[in-house]
Amino acid sequence: MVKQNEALLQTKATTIHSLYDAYAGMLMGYIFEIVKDKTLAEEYLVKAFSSVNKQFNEINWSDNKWCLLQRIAKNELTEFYKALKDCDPPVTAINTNSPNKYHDRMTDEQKHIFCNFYYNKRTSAELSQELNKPEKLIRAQLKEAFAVIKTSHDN
Amino acid sequence: MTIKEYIESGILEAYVLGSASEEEAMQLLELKTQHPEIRDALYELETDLERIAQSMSIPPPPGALTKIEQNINDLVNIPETKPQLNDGYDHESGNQYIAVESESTHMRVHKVWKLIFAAVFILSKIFLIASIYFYLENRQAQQQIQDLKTELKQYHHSH
Repeated sequence: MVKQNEALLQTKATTIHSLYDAYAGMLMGYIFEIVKDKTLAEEYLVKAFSSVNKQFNEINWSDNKWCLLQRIAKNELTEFYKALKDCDPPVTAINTNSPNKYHDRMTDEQKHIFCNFYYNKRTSAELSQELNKPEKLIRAQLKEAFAVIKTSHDN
Repeated sequence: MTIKEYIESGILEAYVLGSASEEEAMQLLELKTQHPEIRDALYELETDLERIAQSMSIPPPPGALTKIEQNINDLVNIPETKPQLNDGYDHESGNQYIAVESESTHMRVHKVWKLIFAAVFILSKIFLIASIYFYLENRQAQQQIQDLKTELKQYHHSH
């Protein structure tokens, strides 16, 4: 029993290590775009990986690992999003100013919708209310934004 | 809604970004197992997302991994708690001796003692006040007797 537990812990540690090797940089970049502070980004990075360890048995490992990590990081950032909303005036969108080949090719609205989904964990219902546009259209714009990403990558 | 329309609706994009509702996510996962088109579209979107993240990747600070490991170890190494049985038996060594003289400096008494102690305390105060009162009363009486005695002496002398 003890040996089995040790083996499980070993697998857990190895998985977390390999996840870190593959995705820590990406996650750090992603969190940094949201919090705009390296120390804070590191703090959230640590929290996200600790959360992976905590939820290890509940995680569906057949999902894409990056999307999984991103979702966990977004959950960890919930308090941060709340704090942004409580700001005066409330910050509802995190627009990235860093040069980005994907964002440059999007229209302003596509960029706004994409960034709100990507960085802010906002839903199409919320955005449809904010932009006064039907939810269908918001999702269609999101889809177009993805198409832009695809073409910019293919180029 | 056909599968093509479903894919075109943008729900897959919302799902990969974690913004689809729970109901939508459940439906999507079910459809994914039935329709390879959905699985492929989802795979492509996930790859796109990885590419975006890769293009914005920042090397994490060198100490981050150690911090994570420390955090995880703190979570793993929570000491096992053993129930503390304080009933006088030595459970550890398996001996069934009763500790006659307990190491504890505390003792447990019945709650009724609280009332008794309070009553004793109040009574002691009453006795204290009463004794002071009677002492003063007595001193005054002695004084009066002394005065009367002197008066009496003076009276005898004058007659």
